[in-house]
Amino acid sequence: MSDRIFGAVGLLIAIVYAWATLQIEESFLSDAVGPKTFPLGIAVILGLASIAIALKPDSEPEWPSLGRLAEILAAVVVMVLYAEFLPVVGFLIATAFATTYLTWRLDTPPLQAVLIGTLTSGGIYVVFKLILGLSLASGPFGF
Amino acid sequence: MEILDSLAYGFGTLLGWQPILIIIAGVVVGIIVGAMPGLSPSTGVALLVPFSYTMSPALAVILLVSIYISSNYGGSITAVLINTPGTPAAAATAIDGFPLTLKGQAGKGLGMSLIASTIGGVFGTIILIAFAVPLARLAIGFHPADYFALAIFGLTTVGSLGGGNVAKAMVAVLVGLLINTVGLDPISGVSRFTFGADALYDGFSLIPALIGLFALSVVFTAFEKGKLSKRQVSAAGGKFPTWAES
Repeated sequence: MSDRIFGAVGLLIAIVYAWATLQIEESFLSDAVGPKTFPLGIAVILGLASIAIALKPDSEPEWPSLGRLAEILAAVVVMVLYAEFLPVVGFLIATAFATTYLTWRLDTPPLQAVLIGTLTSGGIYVVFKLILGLSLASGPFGF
Repeated sequence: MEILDSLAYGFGTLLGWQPILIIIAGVVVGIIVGAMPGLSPSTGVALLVPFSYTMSPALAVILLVSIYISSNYGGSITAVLINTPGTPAAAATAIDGFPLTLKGQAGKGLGMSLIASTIGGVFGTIILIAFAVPLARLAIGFHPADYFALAIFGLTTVGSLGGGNVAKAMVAVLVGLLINTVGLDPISGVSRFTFGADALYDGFSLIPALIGLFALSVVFTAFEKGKLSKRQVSAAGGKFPTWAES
């Protein structure tokens, strides 16, 4: 069943993608091939491959337990929050929090997780910003 | 024999303690740069150009070439050890190398990658010296249709790497292509799938996508298994491959 759902989702993506492709406005400069041909090709083959998966599914995969799924979902939420807060609070703070959370949920004692998170974030900051002079998002305190 | 004279002059500039020291320093820095996901070989070279300002032109070129070549190898270190390719080129190394690390044979994986990189590098340089001129002629004769055929060949190879289900591998390849069509169409300059968002005009760049897809997938797999400690490598050792194995 999992593979059939996967195939159906793939087919849906292919159809929406093809529809979005047809909405592209061509410029007057377009050549014979144009900007739509390649995406349409992708959509067609993606659709065919998805149908093949839906019609001939593999044996049922082993799904993680509900608790594990919740953990994965929480990790995704944390990564999204990380991306959202990175420009607001700056690299150092955002990375320290994200790393601490992930390490803690992967079975590290809380105190060690905080330590690892802070050190990882600080280490990357020192190497990239201070030594190599690359730019990292800075927060309200200038770091 | 102009080429032999040029070669002799080129090797002549390598003699002496200064060039050798610069090569060693460049290789060490290059490996570190390559092993950092987010710093590609070309970024590494760009970052270290200022260091070459005070050197003579020959030494500067030696430094930059050593950094470039060794950082291409460096990318395979993180690919083998933590399944995160440090450079785009090392993506395929992760497929073969990381399972070795999980088996406690990280040394073998790293050694194999080092041997392969060295042989490939030396071979490539010889080919470049011997065939640069005819290759350049061939490259000029390469037309759009040939590029297209080459791209299709590359994509089918990627599809076959998926193992097992071909349809699923194809879906993976096509989703990658789909993501890549976001942004300005390189031929006509028409914006595709940007939905009016300025941030999407440049499309998705390779390194963030690589880190997201490779590094985060390792994190999610760890969450699925429950505890990171269970995935821990039995022994972080593993010997360097023997002569027979390589």
